[in-house]
Parts: sequence; C-alpha cells; structure tokens
Amino acid sequence: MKKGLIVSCVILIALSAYGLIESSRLERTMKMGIGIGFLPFVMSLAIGGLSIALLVSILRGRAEIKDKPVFQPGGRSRVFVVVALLMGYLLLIDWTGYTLATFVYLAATIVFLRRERIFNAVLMSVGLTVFLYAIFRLWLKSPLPAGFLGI
Amino acid sequence: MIDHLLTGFATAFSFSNLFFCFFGVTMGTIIGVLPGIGPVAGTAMLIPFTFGMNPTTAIIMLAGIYYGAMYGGSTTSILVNLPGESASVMTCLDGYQMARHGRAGAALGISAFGSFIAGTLSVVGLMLLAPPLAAFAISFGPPEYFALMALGMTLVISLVGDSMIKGLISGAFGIFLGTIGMDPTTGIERFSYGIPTLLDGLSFVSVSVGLFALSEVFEMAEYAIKPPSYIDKISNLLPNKEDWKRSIMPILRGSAIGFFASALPGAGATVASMLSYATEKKLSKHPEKFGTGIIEGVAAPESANNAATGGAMIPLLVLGVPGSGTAAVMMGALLVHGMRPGPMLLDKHPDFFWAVIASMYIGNVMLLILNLPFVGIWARMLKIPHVILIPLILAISSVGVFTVNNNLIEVWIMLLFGVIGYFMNKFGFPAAPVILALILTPRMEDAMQQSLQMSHQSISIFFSRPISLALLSVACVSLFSPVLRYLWSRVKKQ
Repeated sequence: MKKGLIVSCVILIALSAYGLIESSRLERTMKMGIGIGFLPFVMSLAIGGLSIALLVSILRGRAEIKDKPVFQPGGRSRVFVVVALLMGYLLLIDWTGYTLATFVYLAATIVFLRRERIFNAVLMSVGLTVFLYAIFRLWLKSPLPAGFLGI
Repeated sequence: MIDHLLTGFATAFSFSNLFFCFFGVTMGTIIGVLPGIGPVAGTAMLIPFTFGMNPTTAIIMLAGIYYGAMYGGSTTSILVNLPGESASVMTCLDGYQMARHGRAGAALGISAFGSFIAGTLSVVGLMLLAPPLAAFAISFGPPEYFALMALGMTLVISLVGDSMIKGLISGAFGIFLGTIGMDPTTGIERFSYGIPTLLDGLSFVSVSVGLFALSEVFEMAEYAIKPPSYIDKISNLLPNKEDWKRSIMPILRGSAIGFFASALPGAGATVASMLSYATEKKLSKHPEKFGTGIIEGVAAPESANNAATGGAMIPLLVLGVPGSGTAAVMMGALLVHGMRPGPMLLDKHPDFFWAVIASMYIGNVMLLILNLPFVGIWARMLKIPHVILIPLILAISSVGVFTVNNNLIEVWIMLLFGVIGYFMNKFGFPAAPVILALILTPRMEDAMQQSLQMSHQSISIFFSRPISLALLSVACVSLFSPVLRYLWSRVKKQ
C-alpha cells in the first residue's frame, strides 16, 4: 500500500508540474478580474504542494497506511482483463456497430469471469444484447453506434 | 403553499411521472440491495435514461433512485450483514443480530416503517424550510455565491473520506478539471488542445459514471465475490406493540438528526445514520445491549438515512450547492436538463419544485408497499451472479454515455475516469469532491470574476459583506480544523 501511495503522489506531482507549465502560458490577471490561467495555476500549485506534503508524511511514517496489499490475490489480472475487454468493446463498437460488438463483448466477459460454457455464455449474451437494445433503441429511442453493419 | 403542493400533486400524478417515480424507486431499491453499487453510482449510471424526459420527470426519477436506495440498503444489512450502501453500515450492527435470533421480519418491518415515517417527515421539513431559505438567499450577490460554493466544497472535502489532505487533493483536482474547455467570457481554450469534445468542458456524465459506477464495477471484478447466502426465514413483518413502543422515539429523533445533518453540505446519509445510532446509544438505559440485536439500533439509523434524502435536497435545490456525491450528480443532471438550481428555482419553476416534493410523498408510499410484501424478491436479487452484473453494468454505462451526445470519445473519457476512480478508491482519495468541484467550478469562477469586477479588482469585497464574510469564516474553520485540533493537542500535551 505504501509503495502505491508513493507512486500516486509522484503522479500527482507530475500532473501539478504539467498544470503549472501549461497554465503559465495563459493570462493569470486581466484588467477586470482574474485571467483564465489563474485558477488552473493556483490549483496546480495546490495539487503539487499537497502531494509533496503527503509524500513527506508517508516517507516519515506519519501518514496512516492500511497494512494490506493493494490488490487481492489474482484481482489485478482480473481488473486488467475487464478493462482490456472494455477497451476492445469500444474499438469494436465503432467499427461493427452496437449489436455485434455488444454480443461479442458480453460473451467474452462472461466466459472470462466464470469460465462459463460457450453455449451458456452465448445464450446469456444474446439475451442481454436484446435487453439493452430494447431499453435504449426501442424504449428510449436513443441512436446507437451503427458501424459498417448498420446495426 | 397548499395551493402549490396541490398543483405539485396534480403534476406528480400524471401517468409518466407516476411511472418514472415507480421506476426510480424500484431501481433505487435494487441498487440499494446489491452490494457494491451505491446510490451515487446508480444515479450517475441512469442519467442517460432521462434525456428523453422533461426535467421534472427526470428529477422525480433520480430522486426516487436516491431514496429508494436508502430503503433497499437495509435489506442486505439485516439479512446478510452486508450493507448495500454505506449509509446502511450501522443497520448491520443490530439488524443482522435480530435476523440471527429469528426476528428478521420485525427488523425489516421497523426499517421499512421507520424509513417511511422519516422520509415523509423530511419532505415536510423540506417543504417548510425551502421557501423561507430561498427568500433569504435571493438577496445573495456574486460574492455571497462564491463564499457559499467555497463553503460547500470545503465542508464536503473535510467531512468525506478519512484524510483531509487527500480530500483537498481531490478537490483541487476537480477544480482543475472544471477549468478544461472554452472560457465563456474570453472564448479562449484551456487544456482542450483543439479536441471538439473538450471545448464545452469535460462531460459531467462521463466523469461521474466513470468515477462512481465503473470504479465500483472494477472493484467488484477484483474481489469476484460469490453471491452470499442469506437468512431466508422472513415472517411477521409487522412490528408488535412492544417494538413500536421502543422504536417510535428513535424514529422521530433519527428523522430530525438525519434531516438537519444532511441539510448541511458534507454530512450525508452515512454521517446522519452514525450520529443517530450514537445518540440512541447515549440516551439508552442499556447502552451495552446495542449491537446485540435490539430494535432501536435498526429504527434509528434507518430513519436517519432516509430523512437525510429530504434534507440533502435543501442545499441542492434552494442554494444550488450539492452537499454530497449523489446530490452533485443530481445537480449535474439538472444542469444538463437546462434547470439552474438555486433560490430563483422556486420563483421561476414552482411547478417543478412542488412536483418533486409531491413525488417524494408518493415515492415513500410506493417504497413502503414495495419493501414490505416483496422483501423476499429483493433479497433474491443477491443471487444475481457478478458475472452477469459486471458486463451488464459496463455495457449499460458505455451505451448510456454514448447516447448523451452520440460521441464515442466521451465513452473513452468515462473509461479513463473509471480507472482513475478505481485507484482513487484504492488509495483513499474520495471521489465526491472531484465531481462536486467539476460541477461548481465554472459557476464559482464566474461568481469570483463578477465579484472582482464589482469591486474593481479588490478581494476585500469577500470580507466586507457580512454574509460572505460569515460563510468564508466557516469555510476556513472547516478547512483548518484538523490543524487547529493538532496544535491544541500539542499545547495540551505540553
């Protein structure tokens, strides 16, 4: 947990540095009131200052850190695959459209999460795809990504 | 007031409003029952469902989800010892013990009746307090608004999460995100790098669904929990005379504590339920019995967390400053629907305000009916395997966010914030200040700009007006209270 917190502080300090560089290019004061760079500059400064303070308190052992691993055993890979599958879904939906992409995504996620039999996963995915289509397209009349298949 | 309320009931009783109120409270109950998905995630996830609706129907539905989740949360606390959402944590202590002793029915019954009484009383409180508060707040100028928003933010930052410094970082991060997009005054872009999607700023729906819904689903995937076994022997849902005698005062006190605690920004339903439980324990002649399965330990926190939903509507609707994550999401939804919450809301849209109030009365009745005879059905929801829930929620969120502007980039933004939210949860950075700051920053910057223009660039305007000075003083106290407490403890030690 401690290592993870240190990494998050470093990321925040980097974000603060980026904010400071970018916002210093914008006007911070104007004739009437504050400039558009004022708030981002001050907030970048705040993020940086607070992150350094947090980092120092962690390194000095003053911050309360829960004594448990960041991830559950096997949890990290499960989350990684779930995120990767979602990314794949977003790429696929742009290309093939809602119906095929949603079906493939649901089936793949169900198979991965429960090592479900392909037949059961396909059945569940068809049901859920139709259910979502009914909600968004038929009930809410929302346009869905069409892709090259047109559906 | 009575005329307005009757008009409100007439609007709320229209078929579509009744239907979506029912839909909202049902979805809220399901969200409350399912561990892992809280009301804030559920509300954020279902915002895209409201885009075809008028603002009144949309908020009736979203409010229904909010207070429905409070009802539903108690079911799993009592039957499984697993709080469906954070405000039901205290209910576990005595509720589960009652269930283990064969009194699950009485615990569920008093929880439903207590929730109903508290929910209804809090709507009465909202109805009575909102108009005079709005009349007072109507005199606020830009400096007072700036101070009020600053106070709302500092209270949420100081009360949410377990570390002040992490809350402050979250708040500053949220303000930074709120500055992305084209500045409305000058038309100059900030951090949008010519990406058209970012010109209007980060989409609130993408960020809130990502931070709250996706992050919770990723957590669910990490833990891969099997459906829990639950106590399924539920009988005698109607509390007996003795139960009522012991519960009525805790219900009334819980209602008052819940309502007033959540009327202040920052202290939401979770804090209210803890306060109420602690109060009952202090007042009891047998404090040692708390935690062993006594009915007061269920009645008090359940009443408080339901009363909190009415109280939370006061800062949201009357002042335009949401006091919690769920209220912030609802405010975002209001803004998306073109409604500007604040003191003028009552004046400009009384039909909307009173219809929402009337719907809350109706929704509470619906929930009582839904939660007593059908409690077994809700308990069975726990059997839904995560393998179905995870892809289903992710697909609903992705398709829902896409339908907001038919824009896939917003779905990618949602995914990015899902990952950010997941790691924020892991390392104890609260997400509520981010979303609150994201929503309030454009308005706060605007109020600050206007104030400085009024005073010819002098910041003394914030300190020379009494209301603004008082609000900023409280904000400073809330912000620096941990430092003051630390210094005080050192002085005492010496």
